[in-house]
Amino acid sequence: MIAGSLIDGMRFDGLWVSDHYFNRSSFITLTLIALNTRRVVLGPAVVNPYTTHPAVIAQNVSTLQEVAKGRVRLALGAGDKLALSRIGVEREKPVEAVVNAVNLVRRFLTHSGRVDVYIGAQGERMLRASTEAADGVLVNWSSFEMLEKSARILSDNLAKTFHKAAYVITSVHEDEAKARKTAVPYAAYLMAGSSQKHLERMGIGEDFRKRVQQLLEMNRWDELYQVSTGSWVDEFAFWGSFKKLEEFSSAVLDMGYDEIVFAGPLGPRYLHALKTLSLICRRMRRERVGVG
Amino acid sequence: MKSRKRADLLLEVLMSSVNLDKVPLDLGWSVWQLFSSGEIYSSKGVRILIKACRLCEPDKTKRVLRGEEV
Repeated sequence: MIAGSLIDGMRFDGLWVSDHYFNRSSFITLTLIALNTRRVVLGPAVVNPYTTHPAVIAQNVSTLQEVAKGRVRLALGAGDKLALSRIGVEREKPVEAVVNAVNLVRRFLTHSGRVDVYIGAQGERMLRASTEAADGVLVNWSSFEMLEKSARILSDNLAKTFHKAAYVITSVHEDEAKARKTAVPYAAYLMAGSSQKHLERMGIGEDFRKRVQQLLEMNRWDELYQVSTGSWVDEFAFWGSFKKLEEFSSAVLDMGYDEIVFAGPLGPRYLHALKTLSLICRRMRRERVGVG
Repeated sequence: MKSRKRADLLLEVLMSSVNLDKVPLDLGWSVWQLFSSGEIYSSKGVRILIKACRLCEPDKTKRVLRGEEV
């Protein structure tokens, strides 16, 4: 709530709250944030239809929309395969399940005013499905190459109003080694839950993935840092100085993205990172659209 | 150190901590109430922040109170 209040005051456009069954409820958290903010647009990212039925997702969105007085958007996605398997949920036909959920949620939300529905996507099929089924996409990659590749896939047959957001795991600090260290557990978690197809492309073997997964499950952070010296961390998280982030963000916007979501951890000094990010955003807004 | 600067540093320690589960709910709500009312920079606010920070980041809190970098 403190972060939400600061983000509202720093004039960020939006605030997404992550949705994992092992964290706080995104909708309850967003309700509290809605009651204590005035302008920032709010949304859960990313809700999956395997742990919550689309009818209940729509009910939650509709209620939040009332509390937030219309400042709500929603991101739906397939969820984390590994986390779902831990609670005995098989992630079957993810693209079909997500598209079906978008359609159902929209049907249930008819009387809730305008709520833009986004799809959280990584793979090519999900990216293409988002352009047909949703109002926007949250592209869940943090590396320049994958964001560029995704932008190319998205560039076919896009409606003018379709919104493209890059969802970038971010860790910034003047001392880049500190920024990287903070990024490692987040990158490791994402890597451990990634599809074999993506990991093969990055040259990451199943044995290494399993090893990282074990270290995460046992909270053995020192060993995790020891095995996380490779460049694979860069595939799952952006880390570096503020200057590097500004250059990266500018290049991402040049690819055609409309929005960059700076996802946690943000950095070893959270508030410092938040304040500096807001300055970077204002500067880029001023340069690109003359406001800020 | 002025209380505003000290409160900002302590707030940074608290918001950057990965051990927030060590802060009891009542204390967490007190921090929020003081923050939202603007009283976090008062002597009472700083006192509550020190209490919360000592529980989740004892070493960093000591450094802030000694006026060192964190």
